[in-house]
Amino acid sequence: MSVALIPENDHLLLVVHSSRIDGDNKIFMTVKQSDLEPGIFASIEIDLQAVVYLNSLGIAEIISVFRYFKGEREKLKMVLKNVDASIAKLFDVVELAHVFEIHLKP
Amino acid sequence: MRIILYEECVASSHPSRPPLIRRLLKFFRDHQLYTELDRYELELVLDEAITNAMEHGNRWDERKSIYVSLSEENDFYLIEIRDDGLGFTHRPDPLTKDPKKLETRGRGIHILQSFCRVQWNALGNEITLFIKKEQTCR
Repeated sequence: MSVALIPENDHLLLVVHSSRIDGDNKIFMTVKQSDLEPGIFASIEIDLQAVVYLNSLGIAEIISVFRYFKGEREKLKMVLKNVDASIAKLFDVVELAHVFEIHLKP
Repeated sequence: MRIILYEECVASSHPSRPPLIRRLLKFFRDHQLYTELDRYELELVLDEAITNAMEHGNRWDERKSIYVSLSEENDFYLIEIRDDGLGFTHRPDPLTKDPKKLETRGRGIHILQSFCRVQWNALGNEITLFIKKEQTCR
């Protein structure tokens, strides 16, 4: 599976195992097909340690995950962790670096 | 003077997109064509421009093709991508900072323009990316 979903109380960790997020929509499909109630999570964390390539379709997928869990709520904390520096720059370019909390790879 | 280094015509389909991008990247690598973009950025601009042509230009219609050429002129490598679509009028994209209005799509052209100079023909079905040369690999 390209993504693992690890819920813990009101926090959800998604660990992406694919090296690329570029349009196959597998992360969002996995989320939608899970039994998880989107409204119960106060924070979402996506671990992108394995990801070395992400394009605008990948950004669309991350946004889809965010919108799915946020629902009608005013806000939702979403953290992208272990982000490659090139990918972090892309989030900056598309002005999403302040929408998501981005933590670079150590 | 513009010198064509590589050209190819491929059907607009999901399966043909990744191999085309890989072939172009391999050509850059094999011929030691160094640019101011790093490996990730070069793949990204090729990907966004090719995806745009196949998706918005040709609507993923496999009967339609995109033509791709790589040439060099002075300090730049030029990548031209032409689709069989009706063209479009580019308007500044509406990036929003409001999380409540986050759109999933519409960032491709903004990404292209952030990494290289971009020009369209009058009809809007041909894009040229101007990628500055560099003497050594990044």
